[in-house]
Amino acid sequence: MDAAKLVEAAEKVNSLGFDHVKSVTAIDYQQENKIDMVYHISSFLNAELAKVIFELRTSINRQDPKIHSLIDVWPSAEYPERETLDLMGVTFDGLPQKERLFLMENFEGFPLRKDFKLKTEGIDA
Amino acid sequence: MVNEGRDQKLNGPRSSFEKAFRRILKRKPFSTIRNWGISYSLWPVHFTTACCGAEFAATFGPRFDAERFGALPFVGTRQCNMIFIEGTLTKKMAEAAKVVYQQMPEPKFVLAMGACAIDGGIFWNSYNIVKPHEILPVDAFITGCPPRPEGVLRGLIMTQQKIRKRGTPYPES
Repeated sequence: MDAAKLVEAAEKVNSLGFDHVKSVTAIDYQQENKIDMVYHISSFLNAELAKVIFELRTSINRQDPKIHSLIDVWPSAEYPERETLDLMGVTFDGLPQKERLFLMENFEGFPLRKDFKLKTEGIDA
Repeated sequence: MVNEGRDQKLNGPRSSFEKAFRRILKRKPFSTIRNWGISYSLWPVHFTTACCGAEFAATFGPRFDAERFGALPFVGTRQCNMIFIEGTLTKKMAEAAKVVYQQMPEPKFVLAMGACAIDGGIFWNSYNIVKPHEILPVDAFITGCPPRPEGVLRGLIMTQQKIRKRGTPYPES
């Protein structure tokens, strides 16, 4: 799906009765120079839809990972999106707080990206 | 620093009586008695960093009852003289651990609990952990993931033996 149409699609899915985001995942494809965003959406109120997990999937550019936040459609997307911003460096437009959620404020880089270099410890160091 | 004035008062010039008293306390029969007393008066602070906190709670619960060895967890950092690093120490929590340690009065002791507190455990080589011995002077390490309460008790007894054998660090007068 086109990333620009994500909010439009989300509103449509919301109107079907899916009322919360279960998880926001970002997958790093370093070779293909893209990041896949996966939203898992389900329902609390509708007993039939509660058995279903709806998936919204879109690709964005890895160099400038920018996507519109779904926080206006589903408020429960806020913390997963902030986590994705923290660990994968995907920027969400419309997210009110943009500082680090889990990591230290002065942490450099995004640790779940494939090109993140770890400081090697132990006998190999 | 907030308590700078207080520190100056503590470390400032002392009366000759106090100096003599402190010198005598460091000598053999008194230091032995003092260290014996300190070893049975350990007050670990409640500072749970990870899941080892559950084992820590069990250690001081009725079944294993670490109070019979002379240690009882207490709430106030400034009234405690011991800190258990209970498992993983993330970078954010390490800042808090440092503050807690600095607030405790001397003499103070550190026990590192669990595999994570030794070299990272399952989080070895992670981007977000700190080894406690890099930021605090650890007296004893307790192995296990998580350690059984018996292991925690053993670490506690080892620390007590260390205190009685080697004496305790005391701020220079």
